[in-house]
Amino acid sequence: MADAAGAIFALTNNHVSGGCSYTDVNFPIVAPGLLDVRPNGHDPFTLGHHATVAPWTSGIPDNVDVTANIDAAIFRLKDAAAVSSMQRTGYDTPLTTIAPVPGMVVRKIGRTTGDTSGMIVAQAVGFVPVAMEVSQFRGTIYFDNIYIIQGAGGQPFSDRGDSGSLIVNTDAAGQKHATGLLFAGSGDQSLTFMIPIDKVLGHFNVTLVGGHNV
Amino acid sequence: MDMQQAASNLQRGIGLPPSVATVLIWNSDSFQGLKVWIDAAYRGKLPDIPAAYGGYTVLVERRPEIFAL
Repeated sequence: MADAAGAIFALTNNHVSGGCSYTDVNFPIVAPGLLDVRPNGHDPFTLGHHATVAPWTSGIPDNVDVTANIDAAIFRLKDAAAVSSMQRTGYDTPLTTIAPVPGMVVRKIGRTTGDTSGMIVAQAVGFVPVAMEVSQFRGTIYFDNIYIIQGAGGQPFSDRGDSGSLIVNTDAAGQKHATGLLFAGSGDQSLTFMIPIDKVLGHFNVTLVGGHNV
Repeated sequence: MDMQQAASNLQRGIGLPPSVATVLIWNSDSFQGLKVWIDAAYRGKLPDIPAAYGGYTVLVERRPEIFAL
């Protein structure tokens, strides 16, 4: 994604790189992530540095206004020339977005479950509580305007580690459009939860980047 | 009444705090209509939730535990 000045950022969730709002600005974001570092694996390198998070407010919606809550964070790329806008080898990041609707067929490429397809089956009209647990924070955050996905063929659409995946829809002409940012799932893996991508991009005032080192 | 309006009205009129009940517009192969998720930890008295609202079927379920992935 890029801001109005053309600076390129990477997008993920607050609970991934933002430490649930506790990551220091300019903190290094490494790849593989520290949870994936293991003997004889890839050595981590610095992908970028934490820039900012979307805001969220702890507490239940009976007491506090949680309507602005978004689970998203961005980090500044250390070397934009060293990364690509490709979603692994599957497809390039779309430049356009589409509003999610129940019944829409979607796809994502994620760190854990890779390339999966599914369908948006629901739109939450009320608030959805999500349990967050990272080293710096543990608690429940409520979100509204959340959409729910079931995987195709009864298979999970996502699993732990897939947060931050860009969820896309392919239209009748074969064009891909971004529709959501994956951030949560049900304990039985049958449901995946996403935030509409326009809400995320609008908050950071950025646009998607495609065709970058493809 | 369209489904969005029906869901919003049901969410407001259900008589439970917003932290306890979540209304969803559901459209899957197995169910089409409005679902009401009730917090699994809620121990209070549940109001009478109609089986249909605004012309849409209403299904009441326990809200699943949801985790950041």
